[in-house]
Amino acid sequence: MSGHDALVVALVVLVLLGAVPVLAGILQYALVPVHAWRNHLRDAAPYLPRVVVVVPAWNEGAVLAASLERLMRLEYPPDRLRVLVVDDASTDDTPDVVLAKAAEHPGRIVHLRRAHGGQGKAHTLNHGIAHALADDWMQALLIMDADVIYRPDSLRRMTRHLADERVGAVTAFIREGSGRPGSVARFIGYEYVTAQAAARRAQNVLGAMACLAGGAQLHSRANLEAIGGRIDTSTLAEDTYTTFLTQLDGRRVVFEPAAVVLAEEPDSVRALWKQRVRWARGNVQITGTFEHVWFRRPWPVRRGGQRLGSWTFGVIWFSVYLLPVAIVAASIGLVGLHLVAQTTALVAFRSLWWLAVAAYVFITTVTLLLDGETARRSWFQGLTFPGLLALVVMSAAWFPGLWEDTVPGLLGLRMSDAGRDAWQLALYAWPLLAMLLAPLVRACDGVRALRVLSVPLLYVIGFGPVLCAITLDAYVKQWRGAVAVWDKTEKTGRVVG
Amino acid sequence: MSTDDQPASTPDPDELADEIRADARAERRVLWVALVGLLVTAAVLVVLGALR
Repeated sequence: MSGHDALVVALVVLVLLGAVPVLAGILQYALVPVHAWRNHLRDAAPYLPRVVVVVPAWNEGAVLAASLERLMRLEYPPDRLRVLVVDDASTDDTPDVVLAKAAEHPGRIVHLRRAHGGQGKAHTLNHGIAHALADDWMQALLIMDADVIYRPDSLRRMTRHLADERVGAVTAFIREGSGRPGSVARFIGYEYVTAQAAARRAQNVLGAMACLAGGAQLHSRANLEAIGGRIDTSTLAEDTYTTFLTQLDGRRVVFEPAAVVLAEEPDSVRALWKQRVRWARGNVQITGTFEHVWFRRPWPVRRGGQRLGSWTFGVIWFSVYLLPVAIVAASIGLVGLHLVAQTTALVAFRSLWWLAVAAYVFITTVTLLLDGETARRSWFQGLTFPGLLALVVMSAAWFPGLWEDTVPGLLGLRMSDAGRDAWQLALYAWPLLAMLLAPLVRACDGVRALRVLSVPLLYVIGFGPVLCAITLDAYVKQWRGAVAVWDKTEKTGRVVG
Repeated sequence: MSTDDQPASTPDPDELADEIRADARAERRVLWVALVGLLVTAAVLVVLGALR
C-alpha cells in the first residue's frame, strides 16, 4: 500500500468515526420499541411505603410554595408522606415560605436550616438524608428539586417498582413545563424527550441506567444505606454517581415513563451554558472515576441485574461523551480527503449525511410521537434541532448540484470553480464549524444590543451543535483544572401543570 | 389530574394493581410509535430518492 493510499484509508477511518454517534443514536432508538414488553411493570406491585421527600433549597422562595402545595396534593396516603425542606442558609424569603406551608400542613412539612450554606446541592441533600435515616419511619426517600411540580399520580407510579426488592432506585420523566416557554426552553423540552422518554426506555431494556434525574429520584432505604447513606460530594454529577453506585452494588435502577413531573429549565443560552458545562464536567469526572467499569462485562455480578460494563451501554455512553471528538474527526477526514482524493471525499460525505438524514427523520418522528404534550410545544424545535444550516448540508448531500447549480441558476447566477471548492469544503467542515460558532450564540446573549440575534443564531447553528460546544468547553475546563463550583440554575416559578 | 382546589384521593390496592396493568398495556404503544417512525423514514427516503 502506498503512502497516499494509507493516508486515504486513515482519513476514511476518521469519517467512519463520525458515523459512530449516529449509529449509536439509531441503536438507542431501535431499543425503544422493545420497552413495550421488556419493562419492569411485570415485577411492579401496589406498594405505598413511608416516603420522606428531601427538597434542597437555596433562595427558592419564588418556587417553593407551588411545589410544596403540589406535594401535599399527591394521590398518596398523607400519613405516609413527609417533606423535609433543607434550607441551605437562604437569604431570601425561603424560610418564611416553608414555615407558612408547614403551618398549613402540620407534621407533614419540616423546615431544616443549615447554619452555613453554599457548599453545593450534595451537601444540602446529605443534611436531609442524614435526618431522614436517623428515624426508622422512612422506608423510601425521594430527592427532588425545589422547582419541580409533581403530578398527583407520579409518586405512586414510582413507588410500585420498589415492591421488587431488586430495585434500588426509580426515576421519573422530567418534562419541561414552563408556562410561556421561549425558544431555549422549548429546545430543552424536546431534548428531554430524547434524553429521557426515549433514551431511558432504551436503558431500561439494557438493564443499565446512565443517570437518575436529579429532580426525581426515589431510593429504597436499603439502597440508600448500602451506598453509604450519603450523596457523593466530590463530583459535579452527584446524581449520576449515585446511579452508578446503586447498580454496581447489585440493585436495579428503573425509569418510569408514566410518572411525569414538570420542571422549569433555563430559557437563555447563557443560563443553559452554565448548567450544561456543570453537567458535562460532572460526566468527565464520572467517566474517569468509573474507568474500571467500561467495556468490562461480565462485571462481577453480586446480585445480578447491572450491566454498566456492557459494550452496548459503553458505546451509547461514549458516543455522547466523545461526540465533539467524533465531529472533529469526521470534519478532518472529509476535508483531508477533499485535498487528496476528491471522489472518495464526495462518496464519504454523501454516505455519512445520507445516514444522518435517515437518523434525523427516524429520531425526530419517534421523539415527537413519544410525548404528545412536548410535541405540541416543541415540534418546530424538534425539526430544527440540528440547525437550519445542517438541513442545508443534508439537502446538499441528497441533491448534488442543488446549491451549486440549481439555486444560483434560479437567480441567474453561476458559481465559479473556486466558489464550488469553497462551498464543498464548507459542507465537509460544517459540523466542526457549527461547534466553533456556537460560542457566538452565547456571546450575543450576553450583550444587550446583540441579544436579539442569539435566538435566530441558535436556530441557524442548531441546538445540537451548541450542546456539543458546551461539552467541548467542559473538556477544556476540566483539562485546565478550572475551579469546579456548584452554580445553581435560577428558577422563577414559571412552571404550569 | 386533580385540579388545584381539590385534595387528591388515595387509591386502594385494587386500583393500583389495575393501574399497573393499564400502564403495561399502554406501554405497548411504543411499538407502534417505532413502526410509524420506520414507515415515515422509509417514505421520506423514497420521496427524496425519487426527487434526486
